[in-house]
Amino acid sequence: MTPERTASPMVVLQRRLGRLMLGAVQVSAVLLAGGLMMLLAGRTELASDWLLRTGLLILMLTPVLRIIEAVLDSIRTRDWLFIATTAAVLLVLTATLLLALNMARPPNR
Amino acid sequence: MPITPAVLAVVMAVGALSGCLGALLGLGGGVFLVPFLNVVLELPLNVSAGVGLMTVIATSSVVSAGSTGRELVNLRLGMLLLLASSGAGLIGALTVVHLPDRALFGVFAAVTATICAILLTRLDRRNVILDETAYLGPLGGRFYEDESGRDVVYRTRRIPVALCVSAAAGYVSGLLGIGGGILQVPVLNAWCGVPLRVAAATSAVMIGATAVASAPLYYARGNVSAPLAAAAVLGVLVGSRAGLWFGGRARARWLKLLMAFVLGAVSLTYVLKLL
Repeated sequence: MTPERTASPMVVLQRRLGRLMLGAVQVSAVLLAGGLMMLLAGRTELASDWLLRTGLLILMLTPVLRIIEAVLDSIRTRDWLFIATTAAVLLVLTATLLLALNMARPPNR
Repeated sequence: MPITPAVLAVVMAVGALSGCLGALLGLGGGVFLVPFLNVVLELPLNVSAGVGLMTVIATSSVVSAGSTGRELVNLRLGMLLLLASSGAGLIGALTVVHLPDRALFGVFAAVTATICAILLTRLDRRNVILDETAYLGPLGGRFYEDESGRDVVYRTRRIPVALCVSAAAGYVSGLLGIGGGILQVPVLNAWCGVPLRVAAATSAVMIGATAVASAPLYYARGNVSAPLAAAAVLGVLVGSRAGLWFGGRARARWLKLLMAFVLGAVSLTYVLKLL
């Protein structure tokens, strides 16, 4: 990218998304690292389990942020193909989450 | 398998290597990590796949954030293809429990061998149009290309092919936990007119969301070992950053050769498992 070029609204949105996703990944990484350290230190299994599970759940939700932002941007630009595809993707991911909640069990150890 | 500090350290190290290769090639680390967990650590394929999906999400999130500033991601194309891959990913995660392991090994070997062959026959395809005023079509794009030192444009062709391959990639991702990029990147580049770096960056965004269409089902079934997934994800997060650094400096031809070599090795591993 040439430095003098003014960033388009789409690029600005993508950069903002990038920062948001990176933040979520960092929070997830801190929780996962904390959970592993507690597990290795032989601390309470309940606390390490909670940290590991929460870290993985945040990680799984991270890409959904991008889709939600894409839906909002497609509505803003009134790009109907983009609106239809992003909304349909969001529906598929929602269906997955509902199915998972329906069959939820604690993860293996 | 008992979770010992040594096992966690090894998984973290392999995760870092997988993340580096995954970020470099836009594939997600799963295609390298899943065979390691399944073949070397002898974890069941469904548990290996569950961990693999988590690393794919981690790689995707890091690479998406890093590549956005370089205008390489074609989000409009990505969302269209994601519709096919996420839907198929959900179907893959629902049907995997009904398939025997040998069938999954066969799918693994066939997919990786096919893509390896496609890559080796299309090594010199760049797909860029140097005329900036050229018509790009509804799903084309432009970006600054280091190799030619100027802005270049490209036109996405054969959208039905891209949609079918994305669906296949999503299904394979849901079955094997390897991320759909293993199929999407080579096909978008070789058959659909998308330059390799754009295909890799766009795929990197898509594979995370595709994995999310499957990962919660693996998690809910208890097929995600939380400590192993945590170790692998932490390794991948470090490795992905290294892959992004190398990616900006490597030439497209060498990236394709590296990808072909890795896929060939994975394919051979699963052919040997089938024998």
